[in-house]
Formats: sequence, C-alpha cells, structure tokens
Amino acid sequence: VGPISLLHVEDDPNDRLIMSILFRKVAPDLELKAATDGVEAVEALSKAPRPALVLLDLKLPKKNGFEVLEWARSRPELDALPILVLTSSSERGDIDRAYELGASSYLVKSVDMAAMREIARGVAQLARLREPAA
Amino acid sequence: MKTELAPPAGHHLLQFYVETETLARNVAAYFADGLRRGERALLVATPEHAAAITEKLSEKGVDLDGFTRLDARETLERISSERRPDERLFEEILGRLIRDTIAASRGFGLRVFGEMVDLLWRDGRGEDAAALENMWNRLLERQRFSLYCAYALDLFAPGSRVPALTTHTQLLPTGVDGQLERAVERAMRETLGAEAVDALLPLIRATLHPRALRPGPEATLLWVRNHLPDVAAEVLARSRAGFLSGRDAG
Repeated sequence: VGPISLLHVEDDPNDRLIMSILFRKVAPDLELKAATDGVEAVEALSKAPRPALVLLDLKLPKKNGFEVLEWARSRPELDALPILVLTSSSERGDIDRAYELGASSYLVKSVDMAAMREIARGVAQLARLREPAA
Repeated sequence: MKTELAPPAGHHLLQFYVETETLARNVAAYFADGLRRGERALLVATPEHAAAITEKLSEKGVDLDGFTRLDARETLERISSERRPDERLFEEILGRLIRDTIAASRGFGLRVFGEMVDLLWRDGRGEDAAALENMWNRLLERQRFSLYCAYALDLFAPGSRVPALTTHTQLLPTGVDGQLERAVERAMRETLGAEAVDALLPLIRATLHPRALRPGPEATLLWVRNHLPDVAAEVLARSRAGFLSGRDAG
C-alpha cells in the first residue's frame, strides 16, 4: 500500500509550488500529485489508484473546474470522493454553482501564507481520516 | 432559539426541526414580531402545526386580525397539475393571494410560513420540492414579503437527506447561546481526538458555504456528515446527547 495521495488541480505554477511546499512541511507522509488542466484531472481520476481527495481550481484550461466537477459526479465510482474547490473566486454565483454540481467544500486562496498553511493542514488531516488504513 | 425576527423582504429562511413545539415557538415568534409591526401573516401549514402555531400566537396576546391560514396539503393539491406543482396555478392562487394581502397591508408588508415543500420532501419528491422552492423564489423577486419554510429533518441523523441550501437565504440556528457549538466541538474531540480537530476546525471555518448556511455548528455538522461519513454517526450521536443535556440543564 502506497502513501495517501491527494490530487491538486491547478494551472498556476506558483500556486502549485506554494501548495507543494506547504504539504511537504505540514504533511510529509502524504503524496501531493498535480494536474495542470481539466483534461489532466479527468485522466488522473479515471485510473487507479485514486487520490483520497481532490483540490480543484475553477479557472482551468481545456476543461474548467465546473466541467470537471460535473464529469466526476456523473461517475458512480467518484461519487463519494471529496472534491474541495480551491479558487481565487469568492463570487456567490461560483460558490452556489460549485455546490450544485457536487463540490464537497469551497475554499478561497489566500495571499496570507499562514491561512494557506492552515488549509493544507486541515486538508491533510481530512485525507488521513478518510483513508486511515493506507 | 434566536430567530431573526425581522428578515428583510425577499429573504427565504430555512429551519430544520424535529419537535413540533420548537417549530411552533419559532414560527409564532416570526409572525408575532411582524403582526405587532402592522405586517400581515400568511400560514400555509398542516392542521397540527397550524393549531400549535396559532396557540402560541394567542399566548403571546397578538392581535390575529392580519393572520391568514391555509391548509398546506389542500393548497398543494390546488397548485398542482397531474400531481406536480404547476407554476401557472401557483401564480394564480398563491401569487394572487400574496399580492392582494401585501396591498391590504398598506405598505407594512407580509410574512409567510409555508411547509408545502416539506410535504413533498417527506413524500420523497425532492425534485418537485426543489421546483416549488424555485417558484417561491421567483415570487420573492417580484413581491415584497419574506418566506420561512421548515423541513422535518434531524440534523443529528446521519442518513437524513438535506435539501438544497442554495435555494434559501438563511438557515436558522438550532441552539441558543453556543449550546450546539459546544456540543459539536466536544463530540468531535471525543470521537476524532484533539489533534485532528485542531487541524480540521480552521479548514471548516475557512469554507465558504452554500447561500443559506452561515459559519457555525450547523455548518460544522453538515461538513462532518459530508466529509467524514465513517465517523459521522458517532459525532452526530455525541453532539445530540451533548446538545440535549445542555438544553435541558439550561
């Protein structure tokens, strides 16, 4: 059994870098995989082993985050997978649409590194509780 | 329970309840405040709830002149076509009644409590319930009134389905003075351990919720149900026990 893995779907290389640094710091026991657009996300979720959870940006090339959500929730095998939206948008319309399409949570990126570290710590804990046997 | 007593027109409040007593007390508080301000009140409820709410209003000594009662099941049948809510009938019957009642209020406004959606929900007709919620929302955009709807739903029961929170503007709180919040946090610590909860709570607090849900213990309970289904039953049972013992002691 390998380490618990998380999938971070994010097209911005700086945001990917920050999240990978934070995860190495707060959760070195977890493996953070990355997808840089919606199509890569769909490919990653289509094959085993699947991640314990997904952090999903909304503004993505090729297939946006809403489309990825809609696709994932139409697949019975991904129905229970936690998909946490992590985006720069705090627009009410985006929040409601994400929940209507099946997002588990909606989080907004912060420029405050302490706030982002808290998010990473919570996400890591959630992943460990979801897959305690891994 | 701390009810928002003066919701602005256009607001669509949501309450989950288990006991008729709690529901009747809250709806009576919502109506009593409006009636005392000169607003009208329209109750679309089951006979059992209508009796309990009317009784509570009467205990408060409120003048019931501006109070109108409709039977929820009967009204639901009247606005339905082929057993489904029909927007044309909804507009003809409820839309007209609401417009006329608002006009009769001479500018003071109207508060509505309705549980037709709950009847549909309890019958397993979630799509029809959502369609009716949307009809109410379209009417709320055009007419000056507030709407309070309630679902017989036990938040502490892990298997219970939760209606769409995006169709409401506010979920009313369950407890008073932090009772529920303390019970939920203690239940999480007892079930998951302090270290895990210290990591999870900032994440839960950073979460932006669906429209009706404010940060607080209800949001935390729903988060646990959605994200940690394997331990949710234990957290919910401990939360219920802690909440009820705190409430009874208070």
